[in-house]
Amino acid sequence: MRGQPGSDETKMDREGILNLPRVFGLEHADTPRKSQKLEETLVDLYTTLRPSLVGYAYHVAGSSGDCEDLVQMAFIKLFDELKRNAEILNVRSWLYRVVHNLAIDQVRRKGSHEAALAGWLSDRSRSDRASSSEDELIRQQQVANFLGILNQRERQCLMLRSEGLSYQEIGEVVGISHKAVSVYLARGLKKVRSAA
Amino acid sequence: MNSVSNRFPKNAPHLNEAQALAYLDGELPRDERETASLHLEGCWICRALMTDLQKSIEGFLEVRALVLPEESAFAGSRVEQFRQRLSRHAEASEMQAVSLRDQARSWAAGVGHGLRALGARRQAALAVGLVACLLVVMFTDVLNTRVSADAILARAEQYESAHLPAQGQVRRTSVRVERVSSSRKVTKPLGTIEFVRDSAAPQIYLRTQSVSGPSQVAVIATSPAKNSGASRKVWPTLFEADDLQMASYIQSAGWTPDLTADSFRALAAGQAGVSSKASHIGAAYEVRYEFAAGDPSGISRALLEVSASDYAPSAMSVVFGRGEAETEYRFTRTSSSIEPRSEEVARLFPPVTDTHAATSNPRSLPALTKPTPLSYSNSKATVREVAVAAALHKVDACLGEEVYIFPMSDGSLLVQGLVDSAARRDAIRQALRTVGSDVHIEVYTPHDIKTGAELYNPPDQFSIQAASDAGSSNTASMADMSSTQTPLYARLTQHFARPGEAEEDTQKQVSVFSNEVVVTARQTFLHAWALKRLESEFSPTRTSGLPADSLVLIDQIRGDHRRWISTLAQRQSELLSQIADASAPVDPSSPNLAKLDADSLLHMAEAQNDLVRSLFTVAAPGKDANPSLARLIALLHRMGS
Repeated sequence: MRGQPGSDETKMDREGILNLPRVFGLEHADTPRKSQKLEETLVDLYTTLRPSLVGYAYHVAGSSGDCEDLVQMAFIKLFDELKRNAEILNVRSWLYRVVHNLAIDQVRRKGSHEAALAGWLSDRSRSDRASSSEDELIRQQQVANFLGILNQRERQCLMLRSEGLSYQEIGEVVGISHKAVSVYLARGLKKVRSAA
Repeated sequence: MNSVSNRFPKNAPHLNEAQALAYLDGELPRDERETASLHLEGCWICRALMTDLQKSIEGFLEVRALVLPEESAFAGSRVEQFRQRLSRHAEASEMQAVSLRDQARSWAAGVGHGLRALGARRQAALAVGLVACLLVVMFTDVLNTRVSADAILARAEQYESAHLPAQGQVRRTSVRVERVSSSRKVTKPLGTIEFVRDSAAPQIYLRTQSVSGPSQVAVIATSPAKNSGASRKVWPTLFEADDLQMASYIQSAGWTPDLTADSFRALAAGQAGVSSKASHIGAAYEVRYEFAAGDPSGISRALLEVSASDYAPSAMSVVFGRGEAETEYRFTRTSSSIEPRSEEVARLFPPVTDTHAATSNPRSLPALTKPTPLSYSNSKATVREVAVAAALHKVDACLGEEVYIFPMSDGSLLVQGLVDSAARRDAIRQALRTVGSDVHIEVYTPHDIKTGAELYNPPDQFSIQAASDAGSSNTASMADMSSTQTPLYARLTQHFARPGEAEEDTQKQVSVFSNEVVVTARQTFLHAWALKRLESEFSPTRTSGLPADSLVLIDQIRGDHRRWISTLAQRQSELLSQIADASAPVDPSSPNLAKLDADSLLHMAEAQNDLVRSLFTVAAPGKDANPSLARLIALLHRMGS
């Protein structure tokens, strides 16, 4: 078993997958001209985290085009926060939280989450139609089952856990307790197992 | 500790799913973990649960992979897009901060002034009242006006002058015209106006089209002062009987709603009692002119919307009347692009001397085209293009890699290419970062190409052939020492053999020597090829309009390649002289490197590369290497001179 529970050090950091500065603060933002150093740092961070964040936003909001925009908006917010010297202890979970909230807002504006997922499914089946084989159909069925049986919280917790976030971080992103995260995860996995 | 450790006694309740998962995830507190671990040692049921959970995790990950969007081949361009978005945002927020600072400063000055007045004079009550008024004015001002109207208009003008069509181009802008009546709360589309701004003369082609279909065209001067009513006849197409105020204003003032800062200023020019202010609304700045009541123009206010990111004017409104009787005319830019001044476009304009020759037959505009790459023969080199070439040269992207600079039909530049690895791709993108924002970068790896990226043919005929030749003739970058039958093998072994030295060591030396010669020959060839490519890219016809410093930059790149050819050829001839029988005769009449044109150099470089390959990489038992070696050294002498 790795790491100390309860510590704010994340797993990916421990494993050296992400070399993020632990605390973003004044020293990054306070450069003389146009805070260019901060911009560069954020672009690098964006390059590293973009695929995972877009994947998560896509999962919550269900439309790939807007997800890229959501993620960029989250980074712009991060820039603004750092410019006004806010101290963010865990940048990664902060970004996931902002992306989560933006995606939820978008779903609210555009319609229900279910509608977003239905749209996602129809997109996928349209694009796959050309190569539609039996395997494809089975896989689509799997995906549909998977989306149908899990509730929103379970899906979000599972998605975030699979991105390597700790229970603590998942709790911060979704706004629930550490304990609740473990319950949602276990329940979600049980459903996945029963659907397989 | 006791209460927790008792949770998993050996003979007691098994781990529930949440506990088991937390155990697997390393999320159990240490004491619980130790107890659980102890329990698991003796409990098959819980171990089976762990296995089940592990399987569920795998199942979930499998389905998750299907749900996630596929990674786009344009991830790189997303990063670039974000970089630009962030830098625009940083700039805008900086400007806002500066203007707020100014406000604060003037506010402080106001307070200071008030306090001084309070101390110096006895009319304290009056001074306090004054300060209070000042504060209120300042405070409301801070809320509404964060930037000065003049600053925004000046920036918009700067944007416009930086985006004027270059020689050989025109800028085409489409504007939608609508009327908004406040009494009826209805927006009525009136039609569209198309402006084509010429680069050959200060003139604009103007075409109005009403929603019902009729259209009119005119060619007017860019300066309103020189507009001797040429545009008059086009306006009745848009403005009907209901639009009397607008029609008469536009006719009498000779005003052109071309959505420029200049045309906006023209609205207030010469009018007394016009106040201006600007505010930041969402992603735009709004500049507002408030006209005094009873202004002879009939206008009550005018608004200009300018993008906060680049200061491009995007919409303009002119409002007549007040209150219930308000009628707003809204002009919204729907598109704006740079196009080549093709023959078809040039026909829209009268000969340059005749600036007010409106045509009676409306000529139709050619359809808008998506920007496409232009060939070198029908485009001119720009300062930006030279800067891009220099940046690519710095990272050696001109040496045999398929990276090309495409001048595009809309005046922008595209750097497109295919490189071996993601690291190389990123290095090239990094190098181009300094060049500026209107250069599109599409550098792919073979993987990206597989996932759908498209490559254009190189912009000149030469590069296709040369690139593929370069690729094929140079695939052997290492000498082929697997065969001991290469023509020079015996001689090299003899040369490097030392009495008492193991044969293996001799072979190693032969191999190092041969590799160096082969690699050097290939490098020489690549520099000659880059030089030739430079000649075609920056030919005298393409560079005729460039400023001196760009020409100097091109010469520097050229000089670099020539120096490398010379250095590499010298190095190679030094190496080969060690093993040649006698030094090759130097032809005193041969021109030196500086005098050779790129074509001859390329031929020589190609010949030396072929000779090196035939001597070091191709098995040819029994072949006499002397003539080839002598020819090679002679060639290298010429190139290295």
